[in-house]
This record gives sequence, structure tokens and C-alpha cells, in this order.
Amino acid sequence: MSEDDILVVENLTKNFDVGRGQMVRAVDDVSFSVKRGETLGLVGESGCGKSTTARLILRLIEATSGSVMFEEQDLLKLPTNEMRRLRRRAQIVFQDPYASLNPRMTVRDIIGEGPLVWGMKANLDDRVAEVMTRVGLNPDWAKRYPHEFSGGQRQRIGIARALALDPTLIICDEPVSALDVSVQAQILNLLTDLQDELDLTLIFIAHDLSVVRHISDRVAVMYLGRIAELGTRDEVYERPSHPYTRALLSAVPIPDPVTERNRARTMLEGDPPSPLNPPSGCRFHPRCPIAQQVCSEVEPVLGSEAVGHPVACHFAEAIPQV
Amino acid sequence: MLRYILRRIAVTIPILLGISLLIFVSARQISSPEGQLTLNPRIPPEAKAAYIEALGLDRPWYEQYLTWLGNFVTGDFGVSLVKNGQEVWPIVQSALANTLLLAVVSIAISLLLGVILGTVAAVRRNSIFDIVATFGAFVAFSVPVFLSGLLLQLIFSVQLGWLPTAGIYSPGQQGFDLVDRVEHLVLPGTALALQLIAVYSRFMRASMLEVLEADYIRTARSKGLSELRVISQHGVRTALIPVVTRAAIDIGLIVGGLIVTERVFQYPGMGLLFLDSLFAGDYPILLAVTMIVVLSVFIMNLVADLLYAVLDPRIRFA
Amino acid sequence: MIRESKLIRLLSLVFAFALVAAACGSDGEESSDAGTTETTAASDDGGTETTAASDDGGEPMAGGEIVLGVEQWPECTNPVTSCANASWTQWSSTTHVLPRLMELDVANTHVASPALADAPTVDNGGIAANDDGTFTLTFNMNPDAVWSDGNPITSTDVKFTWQAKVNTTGTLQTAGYEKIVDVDDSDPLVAVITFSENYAPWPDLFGGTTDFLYPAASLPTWDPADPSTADMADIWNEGITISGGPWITESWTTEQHILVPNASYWVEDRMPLVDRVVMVPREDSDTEVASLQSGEIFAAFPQGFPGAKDRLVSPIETSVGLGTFMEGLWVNQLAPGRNFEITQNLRQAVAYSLDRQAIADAAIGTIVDSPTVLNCTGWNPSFGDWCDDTDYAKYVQDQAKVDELLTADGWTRPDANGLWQKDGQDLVLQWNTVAGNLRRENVQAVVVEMTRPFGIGWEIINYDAGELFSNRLPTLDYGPVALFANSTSPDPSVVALYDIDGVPSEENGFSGQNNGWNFDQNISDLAFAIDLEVDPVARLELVREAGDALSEYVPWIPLYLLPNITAWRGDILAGPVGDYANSANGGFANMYDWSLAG
Repeated sequence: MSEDDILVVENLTKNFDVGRGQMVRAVDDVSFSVKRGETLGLVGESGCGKSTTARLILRLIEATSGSVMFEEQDLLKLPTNEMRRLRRRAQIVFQDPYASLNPRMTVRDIIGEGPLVWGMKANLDDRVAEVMTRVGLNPDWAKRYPHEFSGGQRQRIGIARALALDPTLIICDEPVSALDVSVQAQILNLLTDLQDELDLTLIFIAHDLSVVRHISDRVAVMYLGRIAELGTRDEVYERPSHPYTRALLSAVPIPDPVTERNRARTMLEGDPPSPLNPPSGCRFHPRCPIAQQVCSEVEPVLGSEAVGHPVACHFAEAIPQV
Repeated sequence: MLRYILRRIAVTIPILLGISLLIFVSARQISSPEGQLTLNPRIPPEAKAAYIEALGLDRPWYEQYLTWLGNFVTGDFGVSLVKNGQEVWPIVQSALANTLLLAVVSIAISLLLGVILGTVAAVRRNSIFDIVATFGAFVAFSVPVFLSGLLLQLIFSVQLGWLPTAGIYSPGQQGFDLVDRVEHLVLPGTALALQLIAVYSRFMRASMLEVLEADYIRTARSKGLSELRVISQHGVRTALIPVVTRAAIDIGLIVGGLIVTERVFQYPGMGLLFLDSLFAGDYPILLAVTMIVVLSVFIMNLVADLLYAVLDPRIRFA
Repeated sequence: MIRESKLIRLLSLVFAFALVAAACGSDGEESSDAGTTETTAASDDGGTETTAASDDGGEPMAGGEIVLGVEQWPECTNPVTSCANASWTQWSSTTHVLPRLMELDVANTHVASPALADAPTVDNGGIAANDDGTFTLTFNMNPDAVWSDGNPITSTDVKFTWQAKVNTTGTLQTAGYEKIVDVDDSDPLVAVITFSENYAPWPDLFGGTTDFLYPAASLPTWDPADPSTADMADIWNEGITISGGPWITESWTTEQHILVPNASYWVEDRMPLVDRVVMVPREDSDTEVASLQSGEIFAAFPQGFPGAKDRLVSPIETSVGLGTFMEGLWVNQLAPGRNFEITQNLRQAVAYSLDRQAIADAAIGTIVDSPTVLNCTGWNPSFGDWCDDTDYAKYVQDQAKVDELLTADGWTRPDANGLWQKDGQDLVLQWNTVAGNLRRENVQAVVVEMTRPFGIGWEIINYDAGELFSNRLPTLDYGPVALFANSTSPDPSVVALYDIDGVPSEENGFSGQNNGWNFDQNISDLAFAIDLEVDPVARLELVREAGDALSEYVPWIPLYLLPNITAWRGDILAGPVGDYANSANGGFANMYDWSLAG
């Protein structure tokens, strides 16, 4: 663990009991770390376990095993009270700005409740006004209810709510996927601005690579509960070494129509397999364009030997680069 | 809001008319005050005919109905056919007060207990507590009042001798006595509350489970709130909305719907009055009771809707 | 009148479960009463069957309060208007507070009440059929008799009562009073009543079964010269405020009736022993029983309900009266749906196909131990000697009689196991009763099986009580057979039942109570003759003659009487509590003699 690491996740695993003795391994032996002040993008198709990972880190659900070191404390081993205390420093912004705000509370109460229970009673209204201003909301709107705001404004409320507790880490769980494209950029810009101003560390979860490209320092790609590839932005976007990453990248439209029409695309076929019954060997092999016999028999380990950054593929070095 | 209320009132008027007509026709069909006289050999045919004429029962039914309606819209409930010309309104008024007392007390207690039971059952979903509460609610809801009422009487009045079986005052009691009144309220209230608690606790459990799944509960947890605060401030307060509105509607319904309870416990409320009037063919009282029930259902439904709007800021009436 | 509902039926059904649930607790209680000796004895007052602890013979305890349950709370208490039509108005109220001329003793025989010095007889000149066809009764008033306000009870009160009975708005029970042409009250102690013709049921006027005397002073505006001023409709609707009986009403509401002793009452041996009687409504028989068990009410007078004899057990004691309602198969000879004439032969054949004892057992076997079959079509065996208990005794199941009667009537039975037929019509009788009445539906089920071997079939169509009694009976739109109960009075008058002119029709506006039962001129004439014969001996002969004629004619088939029960807490109440179980005045009639058990 490096000095700069604010968060180190090791071997994080979550099994969901779905009844009749069946287990779903939603998150399977996931390890990564995040440095103070950086932004980690966590990408994968829906159901890959990325949101679960976020909730495991914050102990909104309890992990089956593993450890989450946050500011030198293992969150998973903390007693409930201590954990609640630490939650202030690690906040989350949820995907759905409509559902994640209590419809029966005013904006002031939504934003102010956290500071209130953590003893910031004095100047509470000032504090609320301050964070509202910071996220670009008019503080005069504090008495309003969430349903009186647009989606983008609501997500600003969600961010203000998180900021109000002075966190060092904010996990953004697909914060813009429910918003219009035009609004998405505003929120992304707001987040990067805030990161700079407040020296925040961000984990940014998304289901497509394009959204995280501009704001992430490093990117982790997840597939069926496991990390498939982890690297810096350049490593992942310029030298994708896992066929899954390549497939995701080729799904990203290129803004030049000519290039877009002519480029070779690796299409992902079919839906992800059921996590109830994951494929043997490499989990990606049934959909992988370069799968060999070995892929269905031996599960590849996440290793940096082949291409210099961690990739979980038997044939990482053989993948032709773009 | 005002327009909304006015519109609701406008919709209710034809319903009131329709129901009054229905009740009138069916009451006249299945029972009649003159029917009581048919088998009495001491009543000569002429006396019976004079009686029927005096009550207007010999006129065509639509004439009788229109006469009643004419009086009703001018606020005149008319006079009883079998209570020798007594005014209907004071009779109904006292029954209404008794029933309202029973309904409000039972609903308040049921709401309190139902919400607590339902919340705990939802929070501890699938625990022993939840299973016992679910089973208990099922039993309480399935047992009809005429059985639970009798069992309550047998246990608490006959066997233990703690509480009176029936009435609203001890025999011989004259004037108001709070303790005596409350004692007489316990068994009918319990018989009613058993069912209501079952309903409300199930309602609350379902509502609470839905709320607990909501994203904003996760948001609340992520703020670092204590679990108690998450459940009470964010969970219960929201989950209460459908339960409270249901209770408001129940008040409206119960005003007329306690026929069995009131008969078993000889409780002089609207249900007993309805039953007695039905047997006696006393349609002015029958219609007055029915109209008040319809009105109260209407008013309490409106209250429930308005309550919804007060409790849930998202709802606005256009 | 009788109230029935599906609710009651449901309640009775579930009570079985309730009993099981409560059984554990009640076991211990019964053993604690082991010291009480129970005797079952038919007492000599004709018709009451008492199961009671033996009296210990000590002096009754004076004072205290007793609480009684009333099964049907009166809608109002006015003794003249429709309020008086309910039995319970009399049983819970008027009987205890108003005086009468003649009254019923414990055996339901008419005797002089304490308001009279003596009863009028032919011998003492009190009963006189005059040469001009009029009829005069002379009552000598008891000079000691006073109202609770101190005024004496006089012949003027008799005059007032007559005028009030006829002129009160909404008056109903005027039978007999319209025949009165004058009441001479010139001597306050002698009331001379003149009728336009002989009126034998006179003991039921101003007293008797359902009537009373009203004080002239109750209406200050009354002007004897203007009978229309005697309108009592607006008074006494919520409690009778004056008294000429052992009790006086202290208060009456829809929830309780409080009676206290009438200090002015002049009859020494009827002065109440307790200080106060509180009556409260218990309209549901299960609740009534529970209240008895818990000791909240000390006595009740329920109409026999299914399971009564198993549920009214120690410490509850019971006294069962034969009852005052005659239940039977009433035959409507003008039934609209009939495909053949309802002839005398057919009516007799039906009577010969029934095992009436088995029917009585099925109907009231859970109420009383040994149900009695009713053998009269107009007279109640518990009222005087009018009912000749052998009238219908000949009607027992008899295949040969059925065959003979129906064959003579043109019926054939091609299939010995099938139904009788005539002109291609099966012998199937439509049969109506009150839907949801468990007892009556039981009877239907039993009879359907019973008459099958006799080739008589039934089509059962039941109605709500209101529909049957208000709409169908008075318009003869029922039957040919209906099962219900009709009330009897101690006086043997049967004009209302059998008057040929009393058959409802368009011409008489569907009034009259001969709902298709009698079309025999001789029986109709006999009914009138009974009412005109004022000599009791000659009158009994006429009744016997009518009884014989009726048992041949079979206007309806009597089955049984609906029993009444006085039920009381033997450990709380003392005195002759069950004596009046068979009284037309109700089981509480002698509550002045009741006291709290030591």
C-alpha cells in the first residue's frame, strides 16, 4: 500500500444468497487502489458488479470477505458506530436523481440532515447555502422539494448533499446515466471542477467507457464480478489488452462519420452470461472473438506480465493494437 | 384545490341520489312497518288501513321517495315510521356519536400498534417476529367479529369477569361516567381493533418494505445516519402515507359498517340502528343512516386525498 | 313479533366453536355448584317446565337492584299506537306500570284485577245481553285503587281509555272498542259499558292479554264530550310517566329502562321487594347468554333459540313455557301458482303424511327436552280449556288414509314410489317460509323426506320476512303452503282467522287476516257465534264444535308452539322467578315477588 493510496480494496467478495442453496457471486475477489486526489473510472456492463462494489466499500451492504482500507482503517472491520462516523468522509452520489432524494424532504433538509446529525447545527443554513452555491444551485431554492427540480438540478442536489459532509472520497455511481446528454457534460464538468477545488478523490462508475474517458486518471474494467483490466487512462484507451475492453471501446461511437463507418468493430454478441452460473475458465470466453480451448478450462489471473498493466486474459499480448 | 373539492362534490351528488333510491327501493321491498301488523288478530283491517294511509305507505313508491327526497334536500330527515313520529335526526345523531367514538378510538389504537408491528416486521423481514406477526395478522383478519366478539365476551366477561359484555354503560348508570364508558368500549373496540391491526400491520409492512428498498433510504444511510433515524425519519414517515390514508377511509366506512360488532356488543351505534330499522322497515332512519354513511365515506375519502397531498409534497391537485 | 336473520344463524353455528374454546374454563365452575340440587318438574300451572334449584323457604331479602335483559327493545312505549304491537313493549313496560280491568293469572285465565272489586258475571248482573240486542258490562271499581299521582282509578278512566283507543292517531288494536257505544261514568266506582251487540272477548278489553287502563288525567285537554280530544299519540313515547301498577318508570331511554316501586300501589302482596329494576337491551341471543353467564343481567326471557337447553346451564336456571306463537303449515287455498284445487281431501292427505312429533323434535328439540305437538288450529293449550287437545290427534302418518283420500279426489299413483298425479300434474306443493330461519328450514328438510313415501312432493321457495309477511301473505301471493307462526290470545276468538269476508281481495283493499285459510261458511259462522256467546259454558261448546269442524276442514296443519324461556341466575335471584314463563304477560310479570338471593 502506497502512502498516497486513500483507498485500497483487496479481495473484495460478495455472495448473494438467492435461495434454494444458490449463491450469486456478484463481486469476486476484486482488488484495486485509489490514490488521493485521483479519479478511478469503474466500467462494465450492467450487472457486472460495479455498483455492488461501490456499496460494499461504503458498507451500504456487507461484504462476504476481503478488506477495504480507507484512510488506513479497514472499513469492513469497523464497528457500526465507527463506520457511520467514517461515512461522512466517503460519500456516494447515486445514479437516479429522482429516486435517491427523499420526496418528502425539502432540499434544505436533504442537504442539511447529514451535517445536522454530525453536530454541525450552528450555521446549518449557511452550510447548506454554501454547498448549494458550490454546485450551482440558487440557495433561495432550499425550501423547495426535489420534484420541483429538473433531473440535472436534482443531481446537483445529490452532489451538494454529499459535499455537505466534507468528504475526501466521493463515489459517483453512474451519476449522469439518467440525464439528458446535454446535461451530462455539465454534471461531469461540475465534478471535475469540484475535484480540483476541494481536492476530492473520485470513483466514477459508468457502463460505457466514453463517459469516464475525460475525467478518469485510471480505469478498471469489470466483467461478471471480476476485474478484467486495470490501467491508466492511456493504457486502457490506447492499448486495450483485454478483448472485452476492446469490445467496449469499439462500441463507443467515434465522432467522425467516415472513420466511424470504416473502422473494424468487435461486436459483443449476446448478453452477459447469468452470474448464477458463470462460464468455466475465463468468464468471457463464450463471447470472446479470440477464445481458445484453454480459455474454457483455465481461469486467467489478473497480471501485469504480458502488457505492463493488469489484464486477466491468456492472450493479452497477442491482441492486435489499434 | 378548491376546484378539485367542488368537482368531487359534484360527482358525489348523483351517487348519493342513486344510493338513496337503491336503499329506498330495497328497504321497501324486503321490510315494511305494516308487515309487523299482519299477524296481529287484534288489529282490525280498517285500523291497519288507516295506519298505512297515515304513514303514506299506500302511495306509489316513487311518490314516497320523492317526498322523502324533497325533505332531505331541505335538511329534514323526517320522522321515524315505527318510533311513533319521533324525529329521525336526534336518533341518528346519538348513534353517530357512539359509533364515531368507537371508530376513532379503535382506529387510533390500531394505527399505533399496526404501524409498530408492521415496521418491525418489515425491518426484520423473515425473522421469527415477522413470521409470527404475519401468522397472527392472518388469523386476526380471518376470524369474523361475531366469533372473536363472542370469544372476547366468554374470556373477559364470563370467565374472568373483568369487563362488561354489552352496552355502553353499566345497567343503572345515569349520566356520563368516563371509567364506565371506557370499560364498555374495551371489548367492542378490541374486536374491531384485532382486524384493523391485522390490516394496518400488513399494509405498513408492505409499504415499509417498498420504502426500505428506495434509493433515498440508501442515501440516508450514506449520510451516516443511525439506523433508527433512517427507519423512523425516512422510512416510517414515508411508509405511513398509504396507511394513514387507508385509516381515514376506514373511519368513513366504519361509520356504517359495524353492524356485526354493534349487534354482538349491543352497542347503540349506527350499525345497530341500521339493523333495527331494517327489521322494522323504518326507511326514514334507514335512509338517514345510509346517507350519512355515504357522506362520511365521501368526506373521509376526500380527507384521505387531501391528507395524501399534505403528506406527500409531490401530489398537487389540478 | 319475530325477528330472524342470517346473522343469528351464523352466530348459532359459530357458537359451537366458541364453546369448545371456552370449555376449559367452564369445567371448574360447574363443580363449585355441586351443592345445589336440581329438580326437573312440570309445575301445576299448566305448561311451565321448570328446572330450578329448590327454594330454601327463608324470608326473601328486601332491597337491592336487579338487572334484566330485554330481547327486543321497544321502539317506543306508547301503549295505544304501533309501539304497542311489539310484545316487548308490554313485557318490559306496560304490564308493570298500568292497571287493567280483567287480568291474566299465572295460568293465563282471566280474573278480576286489583283495580276491580269483583269480576262481572251473569249471576251478579255484571254481564247482561239486553233485549234491544245491545250488551252491557258493569264493572265495580276497587275504591282503594289509585294512580301514582294519588287520584283514584275510576270509571272516568275507563271512558277515557275507550275514547283514546278509538281516537288516538295511529291507533291499531281497536278490535272490540268500536263495538262500544257508551261508557257510563256517572258513578266513579261503577263503569257501565254498553256494546252494540254481544261481545264475548270482552275480558281482553281494558285489560286481559294486551290492553290496559289509561288515566284520564294524562291528557289535561281531554273533553269527554269530544272523543277526538282523546288522542294519546304524543305522550308516553319514551316511558310511561304515571303508574297504576306495582312499578313506576324512573327513566326510559333506548339503552335502559329503570323501574322503581310505586309507593302508591294499594296491593299489599304485590309490593316490589327490590328497590330498583334496570332493564337493558340484549338483542343478540349469544350476547344475552354471555351477559347471564357473566352476571351482568340476572334474568332474561328469550324466545327459544336453537341449542338453548344445552347452553342455559348452571348457574343459570330455566323455566320453559309452551309459548304463545302457534307454528304450523298454513294453507292458502287461493295460491296463484296451484295446478289443482287445494281440496279438503288433499289437505287431510297432507296431514296424514306427516309425523308431527318428529317435526316438533326437529324444530324445537334443542330448545326443550320434550317438544309437544300442537293439536288445535286456533287455541293454545296453555290458555284455559279452549283447546281440545284431541282435535288433530287423529292426524298421524297413515298410508291407507292418504291413498283413500287422494284416490277419492281423482288422484292416481301410477308409480308406487313416485308422486301422485292428476290431469298430468304431479302432486307438488309450493312451500314458502322465511329464508335463513334455521328452525323452519330444518322443518322443510325433514318434511320433504317424510312425505316422499306418501307420494307428496314440495317445491320450496323461501322469502325474506318482510317480503313474505308484508307483500305476499296479505295479497294471497304465496303457497299453497307456508310455514310460520301466528299469535294466539287467551280469549278463544278466531274471527280474524276464519271470517270468510276477511279473505283479502280487491274489493276490501286486501285487508283482513283470513289469508286463504277458510272458505267454509259454517266455520266462519261458528267463529262469529263464539264471539257473541257471553255464557262461558255455552261458549266452550261452540268452541268444541268449531274445533271439530276445523279438524275436518284442515285450514292449516298445526305443528308446535314456539317455546318461551325464563332464564335466570339462581345464585343471584330468589323467589318465584320462572312462574310466568308461559304467561302472555311475559316472564317478568311477577318480578315484584323477586328478590336478591341472600
